[in-house]
Amino acid sequence: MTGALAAATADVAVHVALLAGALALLAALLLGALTLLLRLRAARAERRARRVSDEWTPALVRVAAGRDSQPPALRRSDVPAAMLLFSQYAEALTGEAHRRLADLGREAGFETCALELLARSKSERMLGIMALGHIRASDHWPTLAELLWKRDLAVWLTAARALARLDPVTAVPVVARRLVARNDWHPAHLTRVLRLLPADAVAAKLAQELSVSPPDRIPALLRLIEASGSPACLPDLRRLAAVSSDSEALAGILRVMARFADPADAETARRCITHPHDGVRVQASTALGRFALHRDSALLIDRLSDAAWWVRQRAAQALVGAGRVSRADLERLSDLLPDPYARDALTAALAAAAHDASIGAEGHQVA
Amino acid sequence: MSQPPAGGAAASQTVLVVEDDDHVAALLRFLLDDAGYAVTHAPDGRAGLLLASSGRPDLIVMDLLLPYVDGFTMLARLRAAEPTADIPVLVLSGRSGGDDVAAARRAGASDCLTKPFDPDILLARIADLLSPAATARVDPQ
Repeated sequence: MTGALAAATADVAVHVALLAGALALLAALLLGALTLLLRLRAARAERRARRVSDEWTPALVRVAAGRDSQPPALRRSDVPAAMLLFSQYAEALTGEAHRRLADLGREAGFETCALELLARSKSERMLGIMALGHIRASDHWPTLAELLWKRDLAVWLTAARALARLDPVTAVPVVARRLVARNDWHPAHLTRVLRLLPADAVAAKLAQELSVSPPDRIPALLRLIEASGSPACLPDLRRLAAVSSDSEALAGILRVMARFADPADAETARRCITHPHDGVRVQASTALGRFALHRDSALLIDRLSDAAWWVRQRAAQALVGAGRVSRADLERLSDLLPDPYARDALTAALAAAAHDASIGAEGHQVA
Repeated sequence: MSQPPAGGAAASQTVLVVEDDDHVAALLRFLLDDAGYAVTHAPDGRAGLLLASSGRPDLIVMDLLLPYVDGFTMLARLRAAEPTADIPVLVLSGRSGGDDVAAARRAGASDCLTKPFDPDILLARIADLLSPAATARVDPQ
């Protein structure tokens, strides 16, 4: 009886092992087939991209150079590859060359194809949006403006760039309004949009938003203004700095002022250098260093004894970086300072500057 | 469309394009070839330095973001080496920040343009850099 039971158990174990082995083999075969299929698809896509490139590149570069050329016949299956290639060339160009490429794109029938792509996968939708911008399809402004309400950041950025290509001036308020409403962007992404728009108009529009935005949105707005790269915002910033009691806003304003280094803003930085909030004093010290006015050296020397170490550090860096006081004088000053914290801050900044200079010199020798 | 330099001067002038983006490189090759320049192309900074020292082009058009040897290092090495120190360099960069342009000029770039670029402006700047007056102005660092 016991022997029969043991034999039956062994049979079950063998069957389970065989079944598991068969399943593993089947899974391996399926994975192998899937891998092969994906490789074949990738190879076919690569062949198609190469063929499309061979057919379209001569026409695209000839048109960009101002020579006559007809677009090659567009096969339906080639649309995404051709449109991607077209967009890559258009992305590199501006001026008349871009306009000529836009004409070629319209002649090739990209407008209809791009609209069809808007209803497909995300990557194809982005390709369609990009192409609509490059062929300057102004009739589809409302469609593209609608896409600015999409939550997906990549789609949003592509639509903003397309609108900027259609009409940079009209795009400023539309894009700026939506830009202010989002907080998931990165300055590097924004630069790609903002460089297509008139920077002064963007900065001025964003600066106007400062006065109507709730305090918690102001730091984000200031980062946007900084990314615009235009000092056109400075008059609005000065007005806001004169009335604002919010320390985070003041610190942000001083950071932007330091970025543009307009000596007209030195008075704001001087007023804020003794602000009760250390974040403001840090930015005021940096700003005074950027303005590099000799009369402000005394204010920065006072900050070397600040209660917050980061203020002492920035003040020392500002003094060394501004270059209004010679290195020898700063070294003498460091020896004379009665406050050991102030002495440490200045010594460290002088050493860091000397280190940076030696790295620069070594780099030049290696080169 | 800019015209090639007057008097067929371009026919004897060589331009080295150092650009890793195939599309921009194809565009530059066609534009410069069409304008009458002899064009060589290097897809990275290391090949660019080799071609610059071996071929002694009349002008270099280069990107800043390059594989192996980046644009700033390449500029410094071009300026530090005697055979390439006086070759005018036009930087055509995708980096649009004013700081990058200033840094490129400090590193020895003769002129800077950012992408996207206008071919007409590019050709005009190249013609200007290759004019006898500009060649005399190049100051090796």
